[in-house]
Amino acid sequence: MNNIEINIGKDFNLRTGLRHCSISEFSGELFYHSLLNKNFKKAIDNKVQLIVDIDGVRGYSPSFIDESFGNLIYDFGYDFVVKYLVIKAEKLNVWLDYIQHQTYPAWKQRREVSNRPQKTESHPEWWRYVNNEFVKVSY
Amino acid sequence: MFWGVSDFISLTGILINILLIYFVSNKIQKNISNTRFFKDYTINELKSLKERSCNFLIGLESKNLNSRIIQSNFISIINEHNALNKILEQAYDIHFLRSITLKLIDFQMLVEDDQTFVTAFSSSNEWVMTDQIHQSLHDLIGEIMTEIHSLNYSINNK
Repeated sequence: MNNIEINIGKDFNLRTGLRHCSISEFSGELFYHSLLNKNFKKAIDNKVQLIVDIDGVRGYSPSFIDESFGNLIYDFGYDFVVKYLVIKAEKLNVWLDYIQHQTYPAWKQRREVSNRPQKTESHPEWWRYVNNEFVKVSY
Repeated sequence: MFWGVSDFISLTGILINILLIYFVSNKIQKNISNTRFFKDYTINELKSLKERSCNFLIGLESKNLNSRIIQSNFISIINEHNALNKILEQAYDIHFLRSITLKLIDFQMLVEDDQTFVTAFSSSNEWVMTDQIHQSLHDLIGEIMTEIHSLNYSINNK
């Protein structure tokens, strides 16, 4: 199977919002639950990479970026994310630094202390890697 | 209300920077980037970006701006920093502007996670800066001034 690709501008929306669904449309929370979580799990199952192209949108709010990719670290752990996720950015490449040096460390720590992310809307069950197995969670 | 003269100038600046990134990426770049013309252009762009950034940040505390316009302007300023940073990195191997861009992003995050901003944004209202963010803002403006001064010096000495 080929790598799985998501282009945020084409597959989600050209204008992204802030962190949570309760604050804005096209939030990081919505992006994570509608596209990122299930496609990442699919990439792991098929032993391919998930390539997320973040170019092609007007720009990002840091809370959108943090909530999207942070939740991936929280649910799957840093090792899986580093192995199966590729974030592609030629134009908006400053976000690669931000994700690597801010988002990943902060959410890695959250996962270690089980500081659960807030959900402001009801989402269908999503995947999480817990105790060496993949489970579906909801709250 | 959003698309004023300064925004047109800003857009023109972005378009010029995009052209320059393409230009600079060719092998001619070393000849071009070492010219006085290109150095002066880059320093002027940096000065202009510093003024726009500082005016925007100072404007946050002196005006009751609509929260959605604040978010939009943050995105524009950060994109401009990122575009100019690419020129500095490719033409002069200077990376300092990246740290300013990341500090701006950190500050924007502080604003976006502030409950008063969240409340204002969700109902598309005006936002009044809190005291807590005030101090961070002043620190940030000081850092931008200092770092861009260092950048000017670095470009002139390349």
